[in-house]
Order: sequence, then C-alpha cells, then structure tokens
Amino acid sequence: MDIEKYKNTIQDCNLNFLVGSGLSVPYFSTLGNIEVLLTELDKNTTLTPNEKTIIRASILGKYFKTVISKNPQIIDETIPDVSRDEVLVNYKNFLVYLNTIVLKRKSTILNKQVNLFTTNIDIFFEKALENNQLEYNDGFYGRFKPTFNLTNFKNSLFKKSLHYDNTSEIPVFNLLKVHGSLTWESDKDKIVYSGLRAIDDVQVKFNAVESDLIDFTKSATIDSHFTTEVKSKTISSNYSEFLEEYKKFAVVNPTKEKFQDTILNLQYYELLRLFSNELEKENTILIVFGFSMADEHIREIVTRAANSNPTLTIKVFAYDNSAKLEIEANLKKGSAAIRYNNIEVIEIEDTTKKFDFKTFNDEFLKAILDKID
Amino acid sequence: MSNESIVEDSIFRIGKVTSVDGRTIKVSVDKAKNSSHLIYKGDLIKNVSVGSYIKIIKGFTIIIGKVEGEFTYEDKIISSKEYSSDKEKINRTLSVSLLGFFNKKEFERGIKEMPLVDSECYLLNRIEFNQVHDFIRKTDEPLVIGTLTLEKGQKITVGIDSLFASHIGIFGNTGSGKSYTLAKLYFELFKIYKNNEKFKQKSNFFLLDFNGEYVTESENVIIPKDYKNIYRLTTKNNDGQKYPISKETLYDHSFWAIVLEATEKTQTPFLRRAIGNKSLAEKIKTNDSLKELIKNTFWLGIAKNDGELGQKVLIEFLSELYYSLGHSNLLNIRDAIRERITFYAKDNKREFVYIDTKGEWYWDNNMKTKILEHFEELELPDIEINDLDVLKLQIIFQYYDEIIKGFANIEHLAPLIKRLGKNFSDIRKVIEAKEDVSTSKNFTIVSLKEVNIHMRKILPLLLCKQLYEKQKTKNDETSHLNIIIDEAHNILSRDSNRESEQWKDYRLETFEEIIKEGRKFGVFLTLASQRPSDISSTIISQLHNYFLHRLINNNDIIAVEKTISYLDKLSFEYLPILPTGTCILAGLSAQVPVVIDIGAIDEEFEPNNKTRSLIENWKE
Repeated sequence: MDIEKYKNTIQDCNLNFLVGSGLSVPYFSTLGNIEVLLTELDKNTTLTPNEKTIIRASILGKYFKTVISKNPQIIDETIPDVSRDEVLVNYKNFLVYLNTIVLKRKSTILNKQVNLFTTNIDIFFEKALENNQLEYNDGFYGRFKPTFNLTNFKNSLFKKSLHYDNTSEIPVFNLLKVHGSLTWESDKDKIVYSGLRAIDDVQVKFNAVESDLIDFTKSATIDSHFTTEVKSKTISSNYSEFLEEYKKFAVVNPTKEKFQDTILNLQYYELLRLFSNELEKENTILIVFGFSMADEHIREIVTRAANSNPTLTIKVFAYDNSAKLEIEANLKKGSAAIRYNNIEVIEIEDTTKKFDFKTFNDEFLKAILDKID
Repeated sequence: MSNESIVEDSIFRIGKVTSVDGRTIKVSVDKAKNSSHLIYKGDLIKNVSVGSYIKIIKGFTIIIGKVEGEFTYEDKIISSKEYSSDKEKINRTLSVSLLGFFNKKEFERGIKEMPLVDSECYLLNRIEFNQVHDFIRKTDEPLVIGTLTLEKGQKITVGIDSLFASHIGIFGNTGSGKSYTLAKLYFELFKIYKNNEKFKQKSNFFLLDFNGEYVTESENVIIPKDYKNIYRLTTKNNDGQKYPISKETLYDHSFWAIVLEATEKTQTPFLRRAIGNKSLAEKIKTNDSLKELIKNTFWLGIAKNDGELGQKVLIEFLSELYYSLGHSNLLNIRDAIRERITFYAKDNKREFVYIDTKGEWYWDNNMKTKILEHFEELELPDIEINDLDVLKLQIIFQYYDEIIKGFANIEHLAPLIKRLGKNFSDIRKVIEAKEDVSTSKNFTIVSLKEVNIHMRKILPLLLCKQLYEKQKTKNDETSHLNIIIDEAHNILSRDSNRESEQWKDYRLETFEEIIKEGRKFGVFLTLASQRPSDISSTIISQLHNYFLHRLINNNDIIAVEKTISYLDKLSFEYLPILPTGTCILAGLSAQVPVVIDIGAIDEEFEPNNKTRSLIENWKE
C-alpha cells in the first residue's frame, strides 16, 4: 500500500466512507443468511399465511435477539462486555484518526466534512462520536422533538477564537444511515428521534413469543428447515403482535422487498440520492470497508458514479482474499461495464492478517496520520 | 469518444494565457484547479505548481512550458461575506517559461511558435508527462537512477550511452549525497552488465577514493568484491597493498618526472638520460660491478681536481648512496675518507691531497691507491635489490656523474635529488613493478585514505596519466575507460600553495587534456566534488552531464552558474535548498533539467559515508 499516495489523495479529495456490518464484528455477528431467508419466504407460494407469519417471526426474532436487542448495552457502559468495548475502541480510533487528519488538512477549496454512509442500524457511531465529543450531523434538528430532514446535512461548523475573533472550520462527520436507524421512529409523514425506546416495547412482545419461535442455523433454508418444523407450531396472536410491534423500527430490514413504509421508503431513496450526488463531485474518494457490495441498490449507485465520474476514486478494502474475489465479482470488475479504472479492491499485503476494522485503522488511517506529522 | 475528450478537457484544463512577454507567459488558473492533486481514472495526478509542466494549446500546436512562479491575489468583486465559497476568492496566476513542443507525439526542445493570449492551458497527462521526461534515445539503453522529486513515483531513466560516454560532474556540499549518487550510477550500470563478457573486455573503470568511502570491510560497495580489484594504499608503513605497474611504465621517464615533480626544461631531460642509461643499470645490478662503479665515480671526482665541486659533493655522494642502499659500511668509509682528504689550493696548485694518520701527504696515483684502500673494506648488502632501487641508484649515479663531468648545473638538478629520497620512499610504499599487470576484472578501486598529503597530489595524476596514455595508444575504437574521482577538488584545484606553479599547471593540463581530448580515445571522467569553485573552470565547463546536489557556499553557486549552460533559472534557485539525496540532473542526457530523488542502493553496496550521530555514540 502506497501510503504517501493515499495521503495525497485524502489531502485533495472530498472524503466519503461507505461502511457496513463488518465494523461491528464481533459484538454483532454478520447477518448471515437472514436476507436470503426473508427473500425466499416472500417468494414462497406453498406455505399458508399463518405459517409464513410464524417463520417471519422466527427469522426477525432471531435478528432482534442477536442484533437489535443488544443495542441498549452499547450505551450502558455499566454492563461489562469485552467485545462491545473492543468494537467501541475501533470506532473511537477510526473517528479520532479521521478527525485529526481532516483537522490538519488546510485547504481553501475543500471543507472539513466527512461523509459516513453506513448500512448499519446500530448506534456504535453515535456512541463513539459522543464519547469523544466530536461534531457530527445525523440529519436531526430540534431538542424536544428532533426531526429528520435531509437539508440538515452538510451544515458546517465554525469556531471563533476567543482572543482574535478568527474563525476556523471544525471537522464535522455527516452520519448518513441509509438503512435507517434504531433511533428512528416514523411519526405520520416524519421521522423523529426516539432514542432506543422502541426496543423495550418490542422486547416485551418478543419475550412472550420467544419460546414458540423456530430456531435455525446459518446454513438453514426455508424449504428444508422451516417447512417441516412449522407444521408442529400452532399460530397464536403472539406472533403477529411481535411483528406489529417490530414494525416500529424505522429500519430497512435485510430483505430485497425492503420498503413497505412510505416515509421510510422516501428517506431511503433520498439518502441514496445524496450518496449518489456526493460521488458525482469532482475529486472525490470513496473508501469502502466492512461492506461486501452485495446490496444491489448501493452497488448500482457506486458503479454508475464510477462510470460517469473519472475524478472519483473508489478504494474497497476487502477482509481477505475470498472477500476480495467476492467484491470484485459483485462489482463486475474487469468487465467492460467498468469504464474508468477507478475502482480498486485492496487486500492486506501481510497475508497472516485480515483487513478488519482494527487493521484498517492501524495500517491505513494511522499510517497516513504518521506520514502527516 | 468525443464525449470522453470533453470530459478529459474539463479535468485537465487549468486556465488560459493572459499575457505573452518574450519567453515568459502568464497564465490565469481556473478557480476550481487550486488543489494540489487531481484524480483521474483512479490515478493521482499532481496539479500545477512551481516546477511542473503545462501544455499550451494554440490551434493544433502543442507548446510545453515550465511553471517558474505563481502569484495570487484576492478577487475583490467576489469577496463578499454573504454567500461565497473560499475557492471563488482566489485568483492565481502562473508565470511560465516555454520549453519545447510536441512534434508528432514526441517532445522536442526549443520553440517554434509562441502562444497567444487566451490560448488554453492544460495539465500534461501521464503519457505526455512521460514523453517530456523520456531521456532515452532510440538506440540507447535505459538506466533507472531515481524518481522525480516533484512527482513521486515518476521514474527517471537516462540513456547508458549518453551518460557513461560523457564526462560527468557531481557537485554538492558535504553530506548532500554526492558519493551516494556516484555509487548509484555505477551500481545500476554494473547491475545490468557485470556478467557481460564483452563489457568486461571492452570497458575499464578506475575509481580514485580519497576517503576510503568505497572500500568497506566487506568490500562490496557498488559491486560484489569478486568483480573488482581493491588497493588500499598507505604511506604509513611498507606493508600495505601496492598498486602494480608494468616494467614498461617503470622505465618511462615521464612517470618519474611526475613522481619527482621534475621541471620540464632541465630535470625531465636529466631523468630521461638517467633512466635510459642501460649500461649504468647493468653495473648496479651485481655487487661487484656496483663496488667498482662507486670506486670509479668517486675517484673520477677526485681526479677532476675541481675546486668548485669541492669534497662536499663527493662526501654527499657517499651519504646518498648509503641511504639508498641500506645496510652497508659506506658511512664508516665516508667518515674515514672525509678526515683524510682536503683540497689544497696554493699558488697555482689546486688539487686534492691525501694526508694519512702520520701526517704524510699523497698526490696523484699514490693518493688513488690510498683512497682505494678505503674502498677495499666496502661491504654491500648481500641481497638482490629490486627494480625501484636500481632506478634510484641510476639517478644518483647519473647525477654525480654529470656533476663531476660538468655536464649539468648543480643548481638545476640539486632540488630533484633533494626530493628523491622522500618521494622514493613514499612511492615504493604504494607501487610495485610487475611483469604482468593484466587483470580479468574491469573495475579498480584505489583508496588513498592512508596516503600522505604529498602523495595524494602525485599518485592520482600518476595513475590517471598512465591509464590515459595506455588507452590512447591502444587505438581501439571499441574500448572505453571511465576514470572516476571522488573528492576531485583534491587534485583539480587551481589554488594550492603547497606546490610550484609549474607543477600545478602540469597537473591541471593533464586532466584538461583528458576532458578535452579523452572522448576521442574513449576516456571519460566522472568527477565528484564539494568545491566546484575550486576546480578549474575549464574542466567544469567541459563536463557533459551534471548532478547538482545542495550547494550553500556562494562561490560554489556562482561557479556553477557561470560554467553550466544547461541549467534554467528555476533549477538554479533550487540549488541551496535541495534536501539530501535529491539533485538536479542537467546536461546532454536530459532534455530538461529535472530535480530527482536518487534511488536507493541495496544496503550491502552502499558507500561508507554515513553522517555520524554523536548522541548515538554517547548513549550508555
């Protein structure tokens, strides 16, 4: 990796990051086959609606249990959890390094904003940003009823010095959660900030239904696994009550049929439009990691932008060699569909390591920072 | 495709010409092009800055210019507090000097057409940039020597022919990386050719190392030790390595003229007579005939009865012989004779007389018998004397012979004999005569680290001259000799109070001749020095390629400015601020002067010239 070159690129480019579920490992395991299962379930024609409800509740229940319900613990540091702390340190380092890099970047034609596009719905970023007292913008405005609005992004912050009245821009992270967030709740035609209130409500319903859910492994499929077991279950109101309560989360569930809710649907597209706009700017870098490029919508935007903007450069960090191959296949790299040679998938040179969040921080951001000093 | 070129134009356009004034033109930069890098197709491209190149398009003509300066001023009209972006405020103007143009996709130096006001200016794309920095002629082989300082990652290659078949000058303050650059050039050359048989036969490299930087313990500097001859010469004792010279050279009077710093008019012809005197040499070789020779010469002096000559000269003769022969009882004989003979001058009688212990006087033949009696006791060392000693004795005998016979003027030759002892004892510590001096290795390093200051002046001249003359007589157009001299100011300086004017002129002339005429015989010089102002300007101005490292001293900078015609104003201004390891390459092998970072040499092959760290050594 030619750090000097990356340093120069970051020095003169609009900074964009696209990150995915890989970041929160090991606190959350990756989604596994949940997306596939939900998609399969939607397409399935042999099951009765009741059976579908049971299976859907089982799948989302698992998702709730392994991912969503663990979020309050991110904030509550009184509960000890080694893997949470580990992940939180990674987030912290990432933000602090980046903040320092941007702070040191003195340029008349670039601002000090960093766009963080994430498909994660968890609250690690918010927690880490607040812990380190970094300025960030998550699209909400207001105190009593914070409301989400796209126009709230891209606000810049300037500080005046006490002594000479000089103004100086301070780094701001734009946190764009394209798949929604656990802190969002839809309220009529708006998205409002709810904290993690919904989780408690859903937890109650989940507890009622938990023992009735079908357990499954990562390798399970609808056909072989659920269809036989679902016959032994009897439908109760618990299932649908859980699912109804679950809908409170204004998040895009991991399924191809993502959008039932109109307001969420709208915001989702608006955020993707913003993503697309940012990639169309001149001299732009998009750094992708913890993200496999499997999401069709986002992949589409990335490749489209890469093909229309020769001044965009995209660096995708792959966890390991097999991830690299997978990402390259997803991006159709090497095919005629890629016009400019501006997407690069990077794997780690030292093959004994993997490009996890910590390695990325140490060997990329920290290395650049060391070059600057 | 046309769409593509429009996109490209919008990215690469940086502004337009606002004024044309002779070779200098001004360019107003587009406000969106003020960052230091641009991204294009995943490639990082350096934006315009001082020292970079731009192309100016006038119709179908592409003119290349170099940015020599830039100025900004704030745009007062746009600078309102209300609604603006920072980049709108800055008006940036470049001052550009024109360099060349593209002719059928190839870069050429020189200007055929001037740009017009409003002509559009563009960054060079990667291909064009490479073409401007492509110094390799079609028939030449490339050699990578480093990267462009202002554009990291841009390799700079020079043609082997255009570099090594030329005189090279490497200048820079101490610690600026001269020796490293020197080593790098030859390291790269040998890396490619070292196992090439023809290369071994046809070319010869001779490196003079004043500070022992190229002879580390492992002896692997530049190339592995198996490929080179190393001579660590020393004048401190007689046990050091000796540089071999052929018998032929040994009996070449011009060789000795240099060693003994002989004057051209009187001393050199004398040396020629002395060294050419074969019968003398024969006599010296055996003990008996040598004894005979001593006796005869001494008696000849006595028999001359020359008051001018006096007995002092004859006594001196014996002393001189004693010091040249080593263990003998000549001193006892000398002392005995000195007490017995006096020069008698009374009335019209002027002659030597021998007075024995009883006070009896002897003249003529009686005296001869008495004196020769003394020589009967003469005992000469019973070891065979080597060629060098024979030569020395030859010179001594010839000198006294000529003095006694009155052929030569004592005032003219005496200084030479005075130098004889010291210079001879020095030279015999560093050279040896050999029947066969040929070697299969074509790279020779001679370290003069342990050689005294006096010999440091003489030896390089001696060795270079000898090599040069040999190459000259070879008359082989395919063979080639590179003489490499680090710290060249040691021997090429104009100012030196240690030596006579005449000798200094001779020394400089020899090297000037190599510089001026060497090309015809395939002899090329590579000089490295920290004091270009000290070196004869004739020599500096005749060099073809320059690697200029940081120079701080004003005299040095002026010397470089005055003598090097390849340097443009901007590169010249870089000179005092170049970091270590960075140098400007200018000259025949580069179309445009470029600032380059010299590439790394594998650690094993680096010269031994590390700057010392005091505190590192003081650490407990």
